[in-house]
Amino acid sequence: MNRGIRVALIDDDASVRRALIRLLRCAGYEVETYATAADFLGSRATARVDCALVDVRMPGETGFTLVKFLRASGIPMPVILMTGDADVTLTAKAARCGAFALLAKPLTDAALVEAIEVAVVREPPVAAKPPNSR
Amino acid sequence: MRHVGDAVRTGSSALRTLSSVGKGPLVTAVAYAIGAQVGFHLRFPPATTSILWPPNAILTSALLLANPGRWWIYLLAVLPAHLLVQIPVVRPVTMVPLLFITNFSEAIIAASIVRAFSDRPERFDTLRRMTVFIVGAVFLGPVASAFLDAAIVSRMTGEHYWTIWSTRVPANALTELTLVPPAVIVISSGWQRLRDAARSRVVEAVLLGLATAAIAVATFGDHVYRIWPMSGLPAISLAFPLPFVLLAALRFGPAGASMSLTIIATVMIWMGMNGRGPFSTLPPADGVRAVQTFLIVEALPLMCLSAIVQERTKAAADLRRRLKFERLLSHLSTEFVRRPTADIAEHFETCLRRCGEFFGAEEVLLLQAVPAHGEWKVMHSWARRGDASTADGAHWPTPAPFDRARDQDIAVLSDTLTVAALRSGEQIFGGLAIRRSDPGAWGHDDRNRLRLIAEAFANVLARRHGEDERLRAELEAQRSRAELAHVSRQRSMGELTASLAHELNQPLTGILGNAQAARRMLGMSSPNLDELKEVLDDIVADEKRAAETILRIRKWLRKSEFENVPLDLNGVILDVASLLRSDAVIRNLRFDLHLATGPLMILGDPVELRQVILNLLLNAMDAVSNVNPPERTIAVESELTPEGAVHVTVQDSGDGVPRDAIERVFDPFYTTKADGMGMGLSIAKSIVESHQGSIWLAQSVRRGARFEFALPSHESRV
Repeated sequence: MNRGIRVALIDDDASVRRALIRLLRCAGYEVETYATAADFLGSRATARVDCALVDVRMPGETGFTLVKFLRASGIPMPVILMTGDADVTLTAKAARCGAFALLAKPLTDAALVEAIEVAVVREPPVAAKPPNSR
Repeated sequence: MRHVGDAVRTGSSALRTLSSVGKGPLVTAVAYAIGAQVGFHLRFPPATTSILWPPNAILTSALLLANPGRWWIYLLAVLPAHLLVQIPVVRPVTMVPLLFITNFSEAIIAASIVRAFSDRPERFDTLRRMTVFIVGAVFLGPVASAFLDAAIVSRMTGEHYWTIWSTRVPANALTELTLVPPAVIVISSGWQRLRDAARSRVVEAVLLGLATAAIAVATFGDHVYRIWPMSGLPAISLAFPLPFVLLAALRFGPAGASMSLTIIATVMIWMGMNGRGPFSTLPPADGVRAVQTFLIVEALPLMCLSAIVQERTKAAADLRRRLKFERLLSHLSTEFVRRPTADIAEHFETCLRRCGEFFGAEEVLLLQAVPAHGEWKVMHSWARRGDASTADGAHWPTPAPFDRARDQDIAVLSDTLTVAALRSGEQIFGGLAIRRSDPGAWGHDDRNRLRLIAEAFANVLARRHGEDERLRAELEAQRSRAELAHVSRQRSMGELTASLAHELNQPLTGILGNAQAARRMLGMSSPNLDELKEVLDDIVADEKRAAETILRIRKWLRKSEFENVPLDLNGVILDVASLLRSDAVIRNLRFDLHLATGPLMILGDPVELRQVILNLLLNAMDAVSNVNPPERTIAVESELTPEGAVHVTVQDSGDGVPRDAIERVFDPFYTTKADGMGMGLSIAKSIVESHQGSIWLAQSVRRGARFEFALPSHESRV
């Protein structure tokens, strides 16, 4: 299954990070982890990773802010958002921002892997399209 | 005769009125005629003077008992009797009507004087009443009328004026003295007293009367002299009946004394008429005077003595009864004061029993007015025979006839049932009913006593009612505050749902992720056991974290009775701060906690106090939402003041409370927030105050508001 796909995991919760690193590695992905969106952007990882797995609710910049920033910067990297209180409004908001998917926490490995696989194989549907133009 | 004055005034009972008005005069006329016949015969022939002359005394008795406004009826009724008796005997006949005038004048003078100066003309039971009677009826009446009498008779018959005067006066005085008291006493209250008297008293009176008659017959009939012919015995024998008369005076008061005197006088005169007795050796005219003088001299002190004895006996009885009443009242007030209000009802029956025993009642009922149903309800009862026969379902119409009664607070519902009003201010809310077997036995003093007792009951019932009301109101307030707090907790909970869901889902995400990773690891050819162990440790830690969150939520939502337990307020602040931590992170604000070192112990309800802190912090969080993120700070301080109060300050860096809102921030339903309910601070205030603390807005400036509250420290109370 290892096709050298590299995933960035951004979540402020250390315990969640540890669990998801294990899960993703066992699933055959390479994983980089960051506690905040700022850390992620500062590391210039956008050039290396194929996909970002981002918690919506974080101190400082939230997951939504990060997606908006990437789309505004023209970075086509697919972003999968995760949240504990997913509902229709939030899902719609995620799609509007240009996120690839919004997954409900807690995540099942099947859903997670499927989301990553689809996101990476398919190029981002709204690639290079500035979200602000809507 | 007394009924005459109280006669009913309605036309339908005119016949009864007539008969009751006519009865007194008719009886008087008959008695007058008989008395005159008796008077004619009570002489020592050949002397013409009567020893006793009953008609005048009979008239005096009648006038003492009758309303002066009706005296003329007596005059008209007695006139025929007088003419009937006197015309055959008296010569010249023209003197007959004139004698009627003199007879009547004596009675009118006597009765007028006694009525004018005695508070109760029909009674002789105090020295004052007896003295008024003796002066008016025994002395002035006979003396004054004798002048007229003597003038008429001497003019008509040519007899010597002063001889007539001096024979008339003692005869009339003696008759007044011996006849009027027994006649008046018997007619006004005698039958009633006789009927109510104990059998032993009746037997004693009859035996005493017979003994007096016997000793009088034995001495004045010269039987003793015949057996024991001692020289001087006739004179000495005058003293023989004295012990019996004394005994009668002591045991039976004025009525007894005058009865026994009447017996002695009758026997003495009877024997004298037959030429016997101590004065039989004297000429008849002198004998008459001697008998009269002896009897008057003996009767005057005896009658006074009997009045004094009666007065003393009554005073002693009154004192005993008053002491008994004071004991009863003090018993009631101790019961009512000492017992907690809630327990008093259990002791009502004992209290009612004591009242019943005091009043000699058959039954005592504590009634409650039920104006809606127009009747009385029996709340408590006591019955002498133990069967509360009328107590169950005894209903009387309400409002009670208190307003109709002469005495506003006491109503007589029937012959035997008397009710005293239980008042609270102007309102009558109940009654204390007493049932006695003997009708009409309520004296003035007893009415006052009943009123006092009713007042004691009314006070305690009103007190209980008041306490019930207050207790109910307090419970109501507590309940509504608890409900409000619960609503508000749920509301705060709603505000926190997003962050709570997040907080709960983080550990769950960890657990699920770890578990699925582990399954994958186990599927590998050579699983790394050390890593698997780490995975399991993480799962356990996350599970704990989730459980703690759930516990916090449950603690939060629990609605329980008010607790009063020692608790550390610092702990409460930390609890709430940690609950809000993730919210604070999201809202980009900072809590600065400067808590006192060591626990700050207070007595209180942990859930409610958590609510106070939460409301203050949520308020502060809302307040700082408008300022730039780096400046969003909320400082919480706690300390133990030197005065022994636990003091907490919540200072935010927001815009402060608008000036026009400062006065009202603690008012319920007052809010400056668009979506606020206006309950947070008012709930905090009511909770703090229910913990004997106070809360205030300490400062509201451009750089933020500072709320402070203080609670009594638990240590400081110990």
